[in-house]
Amino acid sequence: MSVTIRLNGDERQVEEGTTVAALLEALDIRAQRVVVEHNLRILRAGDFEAARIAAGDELEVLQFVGGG
Amino acid sequence: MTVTTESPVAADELRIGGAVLRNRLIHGTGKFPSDEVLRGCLEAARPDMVTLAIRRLSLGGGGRNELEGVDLSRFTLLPNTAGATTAQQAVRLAHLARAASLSDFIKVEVIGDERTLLPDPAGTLEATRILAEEGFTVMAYTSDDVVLALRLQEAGAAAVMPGGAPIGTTLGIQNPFNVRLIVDRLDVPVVVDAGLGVPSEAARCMEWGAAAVLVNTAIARARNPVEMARAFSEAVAAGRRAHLAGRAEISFEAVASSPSAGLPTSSS
Repeated sequence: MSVTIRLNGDERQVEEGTTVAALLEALDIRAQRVVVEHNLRILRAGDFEAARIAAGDELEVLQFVGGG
Repeated sequence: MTVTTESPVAADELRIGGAVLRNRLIHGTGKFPSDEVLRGCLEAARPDMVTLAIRRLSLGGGGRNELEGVDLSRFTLLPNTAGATTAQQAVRLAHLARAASLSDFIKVEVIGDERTLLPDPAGTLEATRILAEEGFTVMAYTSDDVVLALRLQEAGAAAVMPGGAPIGTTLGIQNPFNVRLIVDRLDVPVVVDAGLGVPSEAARCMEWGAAAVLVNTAIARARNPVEMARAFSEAVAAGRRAHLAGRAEISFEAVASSPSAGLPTSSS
């Protein structure tokens, strides 16, 4: 079943129960280079397989960028 | 004054938290024209510590990350909380940074005014206190207010970083008196951060006894950033060497450099 979540501030449709790992892979994101916040909880890379997405979830996928 | 010819520079290391810095130029990574230029600057300056920011991945593709191709493993990473306007936001960014870098270094930056990008004293102090208690190695970006610098030290900052001038202006040290007071009064390392424009300004900070300087825009936006990075690194080393060498005492009366005796006289 397709559900609506918010990913990096934008609405997105994903299959309910998709793992964070699977979502990252589908978006062609290398898990080692990002940090993920799932409903304000920071996930370690080891948690990506176990974390399942539900309707209304808020996901932030972040990385290091240049800064001063 | 005791004269010495020892060279203390070889053993001169800056310890902040668990890091040992031999290069006292902390190198920013923002606003570089390309990742190739940034890599060139890091090769030229050879810093031991670099700053980074944390931002959303651009999911639509085409997002530029100038850190692509930079081997970050060579450096001690100093993630910043740039973008935070409250202590709570800074703490959240710090947690994310720690998860991403597995390092407990954090540059606390809580901005109080969007136009001047000057730091919010209350938010900076609160974030510093919280994060220091959580075991972060906090390097706190602050104004040149001396008492605030002392409070940040009391709150557990591992280093205090007074700004020379507003971020990105390259105006140089606007209040040398205050910056020198902070360098003299604090026990933790003082890193002059923000607003430096040219290497001589960095050298001056080091001559005063600053532990290090942090430079971003002055390098990133120079006409030749790689050469400027090299110049800053050399200037920081020169200023530090001068500080350790101990300057000659100021005299308010002229004293000739050449001997006064032994001048040939004429007979006319």
